[in-house]
Amino acid sequence: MGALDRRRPLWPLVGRDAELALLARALHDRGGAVVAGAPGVGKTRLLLEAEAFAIGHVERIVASRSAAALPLGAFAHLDAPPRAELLRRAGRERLLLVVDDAHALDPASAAVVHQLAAGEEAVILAAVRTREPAPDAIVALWKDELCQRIELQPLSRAEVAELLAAVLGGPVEAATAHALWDTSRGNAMFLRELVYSGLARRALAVRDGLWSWPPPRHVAPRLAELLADNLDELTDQERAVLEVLALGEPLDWETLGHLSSAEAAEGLVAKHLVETEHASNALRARLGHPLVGEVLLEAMPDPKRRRLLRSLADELQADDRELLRVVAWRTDAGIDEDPQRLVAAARACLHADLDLAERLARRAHERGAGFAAVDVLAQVHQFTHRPDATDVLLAEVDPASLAPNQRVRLVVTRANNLTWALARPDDAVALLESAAADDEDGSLELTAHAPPMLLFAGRVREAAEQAEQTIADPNRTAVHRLHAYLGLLPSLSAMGKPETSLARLPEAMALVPECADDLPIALGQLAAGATLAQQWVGQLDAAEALMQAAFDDGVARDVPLLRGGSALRLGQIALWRGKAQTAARLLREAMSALQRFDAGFLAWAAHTLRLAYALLGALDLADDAERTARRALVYPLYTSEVFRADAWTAAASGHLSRACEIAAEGAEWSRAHDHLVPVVWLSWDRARFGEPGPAAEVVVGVAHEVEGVLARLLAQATVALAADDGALLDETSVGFEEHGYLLFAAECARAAARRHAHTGLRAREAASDARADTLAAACEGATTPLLRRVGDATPLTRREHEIAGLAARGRSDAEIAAALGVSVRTVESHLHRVYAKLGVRSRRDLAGVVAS
Amino acid sequence: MERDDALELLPPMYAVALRLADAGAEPRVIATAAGIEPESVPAFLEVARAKLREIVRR
Repeated sequence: MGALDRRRPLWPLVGRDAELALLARALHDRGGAVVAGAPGVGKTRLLLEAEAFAIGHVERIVASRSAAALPLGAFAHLDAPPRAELLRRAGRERLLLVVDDAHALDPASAAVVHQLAAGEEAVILAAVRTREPAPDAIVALWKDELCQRIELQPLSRAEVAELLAAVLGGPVEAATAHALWDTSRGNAMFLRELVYSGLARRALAVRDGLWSWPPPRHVAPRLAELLADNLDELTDQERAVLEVLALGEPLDWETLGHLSSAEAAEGLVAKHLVETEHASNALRARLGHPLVGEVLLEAMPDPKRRRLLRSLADELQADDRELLRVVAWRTDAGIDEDPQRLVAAARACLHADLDLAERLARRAHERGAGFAAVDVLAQVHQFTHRPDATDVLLAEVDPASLAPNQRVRLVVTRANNLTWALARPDDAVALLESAAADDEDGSLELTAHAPPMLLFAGRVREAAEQAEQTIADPNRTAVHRLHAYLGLLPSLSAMGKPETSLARLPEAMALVPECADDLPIALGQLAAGATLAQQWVGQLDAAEALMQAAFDDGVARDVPLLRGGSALRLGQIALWRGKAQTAARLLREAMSALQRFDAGFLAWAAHTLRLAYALLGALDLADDAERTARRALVYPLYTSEVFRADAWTAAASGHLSRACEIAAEGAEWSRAHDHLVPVVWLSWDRARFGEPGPAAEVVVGVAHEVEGVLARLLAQATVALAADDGALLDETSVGFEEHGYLLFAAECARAAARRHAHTGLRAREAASDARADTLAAACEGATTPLLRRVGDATPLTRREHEIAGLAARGRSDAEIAAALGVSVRTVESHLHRVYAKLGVRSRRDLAGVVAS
Repeated sequence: MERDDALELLPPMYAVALRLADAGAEPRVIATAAGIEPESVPAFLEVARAKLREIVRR
């Protein structure tokens, strides 16, 4: 991945095609163009690009404040009167006069420019700043329709992302691209300064294959100086408005008026330094540019900052909806906040802002909030993988000093720590069960937490059974029942009942509003679980739409768990579609986010990424992902995904028989643990690696227990491969395509073509092959053994093919023997036959044949 | 992508101008709302529509 070269003066021009087309037309059909825009938006760059359209002689002038002090200052470099001299230089050629910063021209120079345009003696290409007065002669260029005025706007979010990827030479994490767009507001100059600043500090760097810049993202020094110069021109009242907003945005207009000056704020709206929006029947104000806030805050003395924070807190103190902001402001202002309010605020931001939650909970702990603060801090540690820190905290707690409900909560905290920070859900469940046996009063609360832990322990049948008991028990609270559904619905899906799981989703959704305080992210958890079920019942579009909305929300609000969890689901959906590269990109996004906030999904994302890389043949990258997976917490819930990743990396390395073994082992494990959906897809994988017969036997045994179109089609495809039934393979291919599973559709079509070739049905072979080609083309370079064309097949047995592949990759006979568990003599004998069949005499020749 | 969704992805002043144009607003109104010169409204709308088409196409 190429790093940015600081010596390169120009960035690629992105997102300006429409403006350039307009400019080209204006230069050709009219007297020229005036490009207007804010400082840094890219006017000068556009002039430079537009010069390429010029035919004739080009002259350039740059206006400046210093030159404007002299009449004709912009033409001071000419030895003769400007108009005559410019025309003399152009001779018989058409003159193009390029005028940068034309708003800063002195009146006489501006008159010369106008005269040349009005007399059709020159084509004008000028740039002016918006919201700065320009000389009348320049204004007349567009008012008199001599030139086309073109308003240049900032770049859009997508254009910034595209520009960053082009400049940095590789894919950029969505959250980083969003943050840089938001901070720069699409202004090319701001963006450039931010990027150079991030690179210089090594904060903007490649992590897990993506360019990312985790927060905090400080203002670049040069940018800060530039903005500070502009802010010096403000009145004291205007500056006060911006300072209040810098600390407290967004604020209701009325609140802003109380804390500063409404009149000054109105003036700032006109200057675009303050933006307004309508929210819940109120007018809300924000800074027009986030960088302004950072510059003001950096320059603000601490006593002033504390005074303004206190004023903000006092103003909104009575509003319960503002608890979090008020507590955070009061804490930052050094006010001794009530410990219980600190705990409540920390809980409120636990899933959205871990740093703030930790800061508030730690302050609450220092101020004697006791176990309530410990409980929140323990949750922060869980999500940031600091189980030891939780142990230290819990060691301080004397159970005898706690109320009965707090003793129950202490056990739940320990169980949560075991599950989410140490990946030991079995131990957690045992702890809950043991405590429940000793505490009759607390047993309902204690056992309520078990189903999600049983789910992650991979014990889906137990999770479902316990959850059903809880749901049916009239003594249970809504929170208990919602916990139960969080374990039940994904368990049902894994057990082969995704349709039932989706049908019961509304029961769980109905409980969400009344459980908002205890389970604030239950809605997101249910939605993520539902999309898993949707993937297995052929509702890929619906699942994708739901998760794309969640991902966009996670990016916009920078909530890593939401961003990472939804990117994982989107990556899985892309894989089902066969879009291997899209899947890899999304799964890298997921890993990038989940490394900041993991709730058990990081390893899942890493193993799924291994599978995507294996399909792309990128084994080095698959190894990198495996290293990340090894460092992360791994849960039995997605053991089948680990088997799949292992099998596909073995297949991509040429070890097809090993791939078959792993797939068979995975199916057996899944069957033994009631994970019936993975039994079906691992058997399909085994069939794809070359063992359709045994795979079909396994599938036939479970298919009748598994709901959903995907399972039906996978079982049908496995059986069709085993029976070598060309017609059924064609039919299955169409079924897969109808539901969006394009790679499987391509593979079935290719397998059908192979069968038709064998039986001499040439027309049907050609039709199936054509279908396979079209479908495979949509799979972004994914390759599988089944996709190979008929003509590509060598006359080798599967074992010979496997050994030939390994030998072609440079493995020695001894290495191949060790890898396949056979003797060196057997390898030599197979290779001898391979050489004879392929007509080659050396490993080098063999590598050439295999590569071709 | 639907047109309404695509509008959300445009730089805001383009979206403002297009929505007003869709509603039949006069160039002077569009110019005031988008903070641009009245003479540049047709070109501004042309660029906005081109960008919108590009977003929908992607």
